[in-house]
Amino acid sequence: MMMHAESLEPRDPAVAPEAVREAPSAETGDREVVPPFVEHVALWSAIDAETARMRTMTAPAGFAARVLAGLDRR
Amino acid sequence: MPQDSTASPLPPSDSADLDQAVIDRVLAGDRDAFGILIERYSDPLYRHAYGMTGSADVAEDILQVSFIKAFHHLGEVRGRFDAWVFRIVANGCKDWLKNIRRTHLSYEEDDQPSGYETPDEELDRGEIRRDLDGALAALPSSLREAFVMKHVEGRSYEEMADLLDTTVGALKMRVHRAREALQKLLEDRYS
Repeated sequence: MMMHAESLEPRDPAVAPEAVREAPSAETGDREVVPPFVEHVALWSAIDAETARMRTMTAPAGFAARVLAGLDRR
Repeated sequence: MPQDSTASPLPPSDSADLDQAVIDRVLAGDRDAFGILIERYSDPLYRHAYGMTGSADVAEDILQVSFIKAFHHLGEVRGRFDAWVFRIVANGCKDWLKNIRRTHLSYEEDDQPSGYETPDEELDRGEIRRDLDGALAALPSSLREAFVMKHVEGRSYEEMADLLDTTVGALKMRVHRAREALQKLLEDRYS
């Protein structure tokens, strides 16, 4: 009998624009069952790019000096 | 030299020992040594405050008040300084979210360099930035906090659980729910 196996090739986003993300399983300690939702690949690509940009942000220049100066005013 | 905030953090035991040595100096009267702790932790804490409030000015204000509060209560630190000061900042962010209607805030107040290659890219990315922040603002603070810590701060679930005193499973669920909610709020605009 011919078996149909799931392809191991990475999916081309242009062909399969959505991905199914499983909810955290019960083995993590949360017993509540949440159905998987289908991720919108283009949306999450945009969000991931934005969060990656935010991950490089730093406190404003001179911040530590301003805090130390603020200690004197209190 | 300030620690590179994008580099891997020190192992908790090492950084805790270093922090405690600085705390001892500050408590002995070396007030300026507190600047070492500010330099060490201000970048990740700023990202947290910015992610939670969507405003550079508010994030800086919350951070400044938090560090001043930390300085005046430094003798009360029990355990890790980084976790203690994180809780001060996180509570400051939650209080701000509770008390302030933020719809009047403008993104123009963010004076961070954009980091985008071209003005067109900046325009396109500016749209997702506004959309994402608007959607984050619609989330309950616990979901926003989990999403920001995971996806903006890049923390592990174990680190998040340690800082928030909850379980990895609960945090995975919060991040999952945040992603679901964000997608519901935004997918029409990106379909």
